[in-house]
Amino acid sequence: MKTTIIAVITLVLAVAAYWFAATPESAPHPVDPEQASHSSSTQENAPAVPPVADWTSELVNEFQIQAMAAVTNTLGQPEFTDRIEKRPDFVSPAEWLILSSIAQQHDNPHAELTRMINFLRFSKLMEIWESGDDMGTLQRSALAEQLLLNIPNRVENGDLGLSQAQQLQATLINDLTTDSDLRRQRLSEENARIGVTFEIN
Amino acid sequence: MKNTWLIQGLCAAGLTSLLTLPLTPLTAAPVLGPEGMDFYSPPTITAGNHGDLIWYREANIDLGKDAPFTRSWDVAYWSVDSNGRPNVVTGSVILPTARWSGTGSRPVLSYAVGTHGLGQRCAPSLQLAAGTDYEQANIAAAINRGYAVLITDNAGYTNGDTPTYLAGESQAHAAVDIVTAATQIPEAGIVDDQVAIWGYSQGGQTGAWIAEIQQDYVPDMNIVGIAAGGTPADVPYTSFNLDGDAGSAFLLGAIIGYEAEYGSAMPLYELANNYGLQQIEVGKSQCVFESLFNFMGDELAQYTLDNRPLSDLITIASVNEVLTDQNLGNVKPSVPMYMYHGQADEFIPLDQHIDLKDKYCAMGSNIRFQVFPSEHIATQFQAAPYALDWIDDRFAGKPAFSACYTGQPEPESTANPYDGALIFTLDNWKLDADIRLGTLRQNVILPEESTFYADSDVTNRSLIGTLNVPQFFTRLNIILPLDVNLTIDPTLPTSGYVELDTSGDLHIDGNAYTTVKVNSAGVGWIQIPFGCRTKEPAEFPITFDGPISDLGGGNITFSGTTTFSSMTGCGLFNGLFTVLMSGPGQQYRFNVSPPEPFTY
Repeated sequence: MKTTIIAVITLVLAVAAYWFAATPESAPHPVDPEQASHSSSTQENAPAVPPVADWTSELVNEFQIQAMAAVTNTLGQPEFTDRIEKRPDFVSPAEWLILSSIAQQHDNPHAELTRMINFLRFSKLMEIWESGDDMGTLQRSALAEQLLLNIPNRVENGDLGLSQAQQLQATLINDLTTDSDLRRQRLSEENARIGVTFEIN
Repeated sequence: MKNTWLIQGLCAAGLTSLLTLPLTPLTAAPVLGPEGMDFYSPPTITAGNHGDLIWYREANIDLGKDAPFTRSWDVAYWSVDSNGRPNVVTGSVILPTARWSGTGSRPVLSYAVGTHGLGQRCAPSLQLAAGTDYEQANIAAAINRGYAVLITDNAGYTNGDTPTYLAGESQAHAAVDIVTAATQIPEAGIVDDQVAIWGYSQGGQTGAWIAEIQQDYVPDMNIVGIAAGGTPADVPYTSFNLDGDAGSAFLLGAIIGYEAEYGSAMPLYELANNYGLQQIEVGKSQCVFESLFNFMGDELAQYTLDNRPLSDLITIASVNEVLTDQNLGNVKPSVPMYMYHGQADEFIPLDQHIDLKDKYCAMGSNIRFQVFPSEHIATQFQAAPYALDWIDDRFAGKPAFSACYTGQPEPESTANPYDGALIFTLDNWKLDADIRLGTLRQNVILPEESTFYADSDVTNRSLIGTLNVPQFFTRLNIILPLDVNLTIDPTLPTSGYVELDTSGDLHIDGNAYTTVKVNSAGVGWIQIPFGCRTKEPAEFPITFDGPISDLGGGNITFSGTTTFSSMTGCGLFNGLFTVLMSGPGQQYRFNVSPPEPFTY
């Protein structure tokens, strides 16, 4: 599965690279695609990213693995609020190109890119948390806390529906504590953060 | 025969003497009728001809949202019942305010209504005024064609009377006499150079009866065509189909109507037991959708002394004669006819209408017969544009090509058997749908082959169904225009609440559930397969509140927003696909409409 999707992404990017080269004036790059070849300031020692035209499936795969690994480094960090000029480490070069392109279709591309990058981070953290059977309790708790912290932003930005968010909050809180009173208390607090209130009897 | 009957001595009690004399001038010019229900007590006039306008008044009708602008009148006019006795009938005359843009004078369409119910408040003219007529969509469609549309109430809606429901000849007289009457409204300017008839169910019976009596009753009226659908052509046979079945209300209504028309020949009150007498009074007070549900499944035997069943009652000679006198197929129609029927008609059997078609064809009439896929009510409204196109062609003077022999095998009924519930099956209905992906800001249009199946149980008020969407390609711009192969997979049945209320309005409140799968993506024929999909089924609320006519009319549209869950199965790109595809605010629009008819 991974191989085929990576192959598709590689194909798209390869054709895109050709397209940009052939018709540079029409290239949809609100954020300079060259930025995809540079790491963000948070990862000064990362290996250089070759030009898009030279990407292979293996390389795209490797970029994805690196980006996924990098997302756990963001635990405790706030979400982006301003314009994102450089590719964060947890965003692979392929993702950066694609999201930059999609952002261009919106009225405010930079705000949309910021939203999508924050949502991408959240999604990757969620994916790690969901598959985290072999992670330590502390890391699992830290992930859950980070996700709970960011859920209100997801709701506010329209990334999650209210019922989705409530369901997710309940799932995360149930994983954080086994004490039913604490669960109810915490759920009440988290629900309030997304505008849902209820009384605990 | 027109204007050759002199009606004399009609008293308010309805006692008449009838003389047949040559052309007799009107003895009273039409006058403006009174306001309110007094209009339904026309004055006694001692002489006149069938089709004479007794009185009229300007009316305000309401044909629902998006209706064309009209000017309308209520009318009361002379007609003749099935026994040859004069009677007074009320009705409506509606003109589009827009000028007629075709050649010649504005065509006239006599629209013969289907069952409205026996209560006086159910009269078409009163329901049109109240904006509650369930046939208003068809009437509006006819007005949109530019015709003058005339709608007889049929006999029996005047004050103190009982409708002579399903008395075919009386209905036919009323539907042609309103044409003559309408030409006498001073300010309407209606000219009956070209007349067409259109009716369904009870109105189909009216239309076919007109085809058979026209030469004798209105030989000079230029009827260019008759569209008649859902016709009860064999009334005894149809009666057995209705008895104890979903449409048993129509049988009770017919028997009440025949007693009103034929008196002691239909000895209703002698045959009824106490419960039956009570139910007769209920039936006489109700409108069609009230009585449909009130009497659904009842057997006639419940209402009769000694619980005599229909099979016994029909052996009474006069009863048998009344019922068989309604049968059609005895006279060759001299005008082209467009006949149609729902293959899944649960009330009026398909086969007896096909028999009528065969009889007319054998007589050498010009017949086109179309079979629609749905049940009785949906067909009434699905057929509207087909019937009106056919009528348009007749008014335009185009030749009507008979299609008596199509080589098709005779269609079998697909009606749902009545098992305590009235179920409208939406079998293989076309699903015209699109989803707008919020983040990608792009529309995904579902393939034309998409269908919707549902069983709508309006008795138990439940709907269960499914979407069928074949795999399809859509083009999504993700850096490049990508050809993406998708599956919209109905993970769970579509389910919910459905109600057909006593006003004829349909209410649906449910959900469709689908998983969205991305099967492959690529550029052109270079497709690389994978199996990315939404982790949870997306829930599409399906809500509808509107007239039942919207069902057959293809106007059932569900729209709103849904939430796509996060994506899974995308390998290392779950996060990316989640960002691109998931979240709330995904707009959708699902429209369902019945499949096309076929010609038999």
